[in-house]
Amino acid sequence: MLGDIATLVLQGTMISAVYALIAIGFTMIFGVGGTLNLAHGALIMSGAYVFGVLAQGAHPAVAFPITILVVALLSWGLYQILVRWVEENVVITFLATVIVAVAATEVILIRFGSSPLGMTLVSGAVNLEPYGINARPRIVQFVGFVISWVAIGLLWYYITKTDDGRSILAASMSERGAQLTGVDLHSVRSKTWLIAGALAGAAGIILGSTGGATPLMWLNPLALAFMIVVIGGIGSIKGSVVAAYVIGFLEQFTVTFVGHGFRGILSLVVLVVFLLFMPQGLYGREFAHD
Amino acid sequence: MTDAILEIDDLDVYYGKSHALKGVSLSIGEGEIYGVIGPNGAGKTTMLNAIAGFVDYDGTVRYDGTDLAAVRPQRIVRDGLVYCTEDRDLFPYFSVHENLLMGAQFRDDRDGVRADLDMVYELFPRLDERREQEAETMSGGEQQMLAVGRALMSGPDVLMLDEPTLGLAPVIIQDIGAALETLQAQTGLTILLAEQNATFALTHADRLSLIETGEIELSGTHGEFHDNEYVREAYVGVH
Repeated sequence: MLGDIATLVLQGTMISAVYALIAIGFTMIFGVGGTLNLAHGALIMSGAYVFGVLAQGAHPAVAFPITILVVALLSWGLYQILVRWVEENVVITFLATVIVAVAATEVILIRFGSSPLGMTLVSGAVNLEPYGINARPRIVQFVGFVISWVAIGLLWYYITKTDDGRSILAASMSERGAQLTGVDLHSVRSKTWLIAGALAGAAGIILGSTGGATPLMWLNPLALAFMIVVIGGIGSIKGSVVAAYVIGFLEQFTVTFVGHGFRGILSLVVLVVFLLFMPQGLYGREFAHD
Repeated sequence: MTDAILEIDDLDVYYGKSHALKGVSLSIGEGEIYGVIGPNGAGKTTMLNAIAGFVDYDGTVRYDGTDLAAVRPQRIVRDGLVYCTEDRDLFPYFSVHENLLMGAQFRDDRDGVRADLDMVYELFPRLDERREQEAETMSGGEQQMLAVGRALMSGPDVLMLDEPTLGLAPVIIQDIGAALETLQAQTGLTILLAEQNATFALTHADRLSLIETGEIELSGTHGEFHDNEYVREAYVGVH
């Protein structure tokens, strides 16, 4: 029993960190532009594949930053080429980004086929059985946890301590207020997509390194991002981090005490409860989009 | 009169088929407080929105010698023409201090920003007492002070104020009026003040215009407005 709880805490902590990486970019884009980016999962997937390909020839420590950069630019490009022209229309944006996601799947099927692409960020595992913990967590999971918190820390510093970053939060509270203080809204949105892309790239690398890359791997992260954003409060970065941990621990709790097949059940129940009784989410007040 | 810093010439604004501004012309001199009075819906806010670049217009707006037609709103702010709207448009979940910092977000002169922060806190001691309070939780008067303070943080040469006294208690209105006079006297700030509260505008403005149904009906100095029979009866009244 004690060993189970230790396993739960350990696995829950590590998986939640990745969930936070998955959700933050999604929630930032929604907060600033009011845009639901359904291609967010596809950006995560592209992170996995870009890293998978690069890591075949280069050292992971080199492939990692290049992948982050590539996915950040893909995200930025997606905004400049497509989304910025349709963002005023929610339905069109919805459809346009889902088409991008489906198209990405097709491209990957043509280029890589449907079998998983394996990759290694860091190899090895830690045996914790001597300590009474019934798990063999892989080192890449620890690395994922560290990457997640380094990214969150950097983002937090940027949006609370710098004028540039603070403008992103400000624009999500009041677009008119941002304009009145000389904020260039277009540049704020571009930056948000760039940051969201970088975070998605990191998430993709970790997901790919733990479970391999597949052409439909964008679906699960996208669904997770939705759930986390609803529970955390739409547009709230803090809410996304907290909700990522709520979801991660709920899933791990179900896996540990009920069974692997029921993984998502409990978090879905919680999602429904939130939708019914607390639709603004945990920190929904931070969302005040005009 | 000193040189005009803000010139509005033959300004027309349409909302669909309704003609909201009909050939409005104004010339605002450097360092003066210029009041635009008129009833609700006369077009005061529309005029300010046009100057700030938020609505399309026919005619010309010239600020500091530059035609603003092709200048984007954020550029106008950075060039020192700062607009404080009737809705205030504060950042509700930012603290007083963060709201003020946002006003200066595009500025690189750290020392100047720090000096302006001190200036704003000195001008509005109530803000100083509430540095960490979220804007949303403050009273209307404090929010208005914060909105003016945030605008001042952008280092304006011209400040456009839309209904700064709307819904505020008389004692707060006095504070805001005093702040405007201080700013004019100490920093030479030019203020374009749009007000339904004609008494307030008459108290503080050097020159005024009366705008009704999108047209300027009357323009003149403070003295001329003060003695004008029509203005006294229709707008100032005897309370």
